[in-house]
Amino acid sequence: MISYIARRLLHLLPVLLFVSAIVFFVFRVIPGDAAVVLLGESADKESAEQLRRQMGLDRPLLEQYASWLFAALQTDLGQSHLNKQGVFSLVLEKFPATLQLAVLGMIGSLLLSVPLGILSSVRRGSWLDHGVRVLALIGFCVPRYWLAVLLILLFALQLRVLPPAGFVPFSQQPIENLRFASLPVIAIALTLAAVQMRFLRSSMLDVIDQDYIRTARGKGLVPRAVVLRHALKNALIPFITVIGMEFGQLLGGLVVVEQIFNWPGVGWLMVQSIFHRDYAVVQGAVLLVAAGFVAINLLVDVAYTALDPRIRYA
Amino acid sequence: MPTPPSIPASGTRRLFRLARRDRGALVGATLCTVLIVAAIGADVLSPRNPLAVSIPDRFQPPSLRFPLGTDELGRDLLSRILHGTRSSLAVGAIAVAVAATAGTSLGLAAGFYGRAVGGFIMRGIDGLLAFPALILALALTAMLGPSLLNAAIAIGIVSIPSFARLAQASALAIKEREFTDAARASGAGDVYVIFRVILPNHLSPLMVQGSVSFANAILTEAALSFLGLGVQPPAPSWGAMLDTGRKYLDQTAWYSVSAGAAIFVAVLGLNLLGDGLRDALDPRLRPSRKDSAAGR
Repeated sequence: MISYIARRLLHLLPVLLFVSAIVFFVFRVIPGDAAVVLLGESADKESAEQLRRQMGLDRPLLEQYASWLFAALQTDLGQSHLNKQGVFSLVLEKFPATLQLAVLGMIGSLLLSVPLGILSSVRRGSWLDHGVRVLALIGFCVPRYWLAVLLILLFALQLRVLPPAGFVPFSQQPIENLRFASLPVIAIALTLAAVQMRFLRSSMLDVIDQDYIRTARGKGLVPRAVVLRHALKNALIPFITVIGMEFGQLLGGLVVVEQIFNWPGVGWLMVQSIFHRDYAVVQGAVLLVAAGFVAINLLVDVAYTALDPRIRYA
Repeated sequence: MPTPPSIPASGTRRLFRLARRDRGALVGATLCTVLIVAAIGADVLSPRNPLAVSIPDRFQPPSLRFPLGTDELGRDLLSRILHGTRSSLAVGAIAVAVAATAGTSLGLAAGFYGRAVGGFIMRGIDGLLAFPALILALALTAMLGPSLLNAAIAIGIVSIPSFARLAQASALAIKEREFTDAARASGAGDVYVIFRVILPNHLSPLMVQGSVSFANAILTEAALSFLGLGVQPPAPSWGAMLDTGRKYLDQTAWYSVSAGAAIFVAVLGLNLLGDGLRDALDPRLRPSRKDSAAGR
């Protein structure tokens, strides 16, 4: 197990190197260059040249990349030119808000998808199964940003029970914070649950057809125990992969949700920075999100191996 | 040289037979046809000029004159949604073309040449996969500059991995088959084997992945336009309409809701079509949905 994790970590090195290279070079094709962006279009040539030398922009690209990477490894991702704060601490500061939405959305989706997925697989072909499948298809195709708008229309403008958008830190006003979080969390949970239901249903159906389930039934086990203790246990293993993948994608998918609900998370920060041409922040945020995404994928793979003794990565 | 067996020819015939039995696929195909008709016939079908501003008519509710009402500049929403179909389909088509060409070539090469070359290519693909799709598309469009074409290219690049992985798997499997050996024995070179033996046998999964990726591209384009990085005003785009409309939700719900409904219908149609294609062409085949969470 330990050697497997070690090998996976080693395997990650080239991937992370490639990721950092993509991030570095994508942001090198900025129209104009960073010095001009910083000084404004009206800057004279001489001071632009001086700043460029100061920033190391006159050095060979590979050398720039190496020193950028070296600094990044020491959490130095440059400075936001908007509020003169270090990019690393700025992104870290916004991260809890994003994580809150992601975690609450994930919990909400599981509360929906696990019981419904199990029920629809156990009662295959019933009206409940059909209903769940139609709902899952709709949930799979509904754009999350549209669902968010519909939720605002219903709960904030028609029923007036929840605020349409806004944010207060949980540490200051926990109840208000949760009220603001409700609509984005519902939007996230419903769309995530759709994919989960589809997946859980089909992986339950795969398991239910297997011999050991028939044996369990044959030895007189009550149906509930067969489903929960025998079938679900095995169906959940591939399900974990889906949850991990969804969680990783959420880091990106939240960009639009945070924008709609004015929720100051990492995605919101990225969009603001793009419009203020604060590219150091965008670059740093993209790098950190990608690193987080890679880390989650690694965790999923490790969890997968740990949970399923049949899988042995030699 | 022997003609390699080709699944697609019989697959197409099976397709028509199954379309009659598979209601989901039929609905999907119908919705997709509606989309294509709307895109081609936008000029004829639109009751008004989608760009014609008429301030006195702003925020009109749906009526005979304006079937879906009007927006904040008094422009006819139905006409703008019909014309928006063009942007969405154009972005989807360009993105899928970019991703399918680049991804399939890379994947076929990786699968065919195996170890060193394949390993190198697939590590690169893993690198691309290490980004949440929307984040990378966002960064790319921010850097390339906001426009329809740039958004399409960015989405295309982001969608390369799913095509590459699929093609690699196909190439790995097909190159071990007897008919590949037969082609080899008759003196076929690498290029012939890749393009005339492996590629034709990879067309079914390619078509399925194409329709799923098309749906994802529309979702991602709408998300980018929503954030102001896709199709630029005054050109109509569903994502941008959804964004502008939500600022006027207390004045007219139709604006945002109808734009979002258009996106939903397009995505639903393409996904149903993809599911139907998959069942028709190969029941065991499941397309990669890894990039599906992108725009949502």
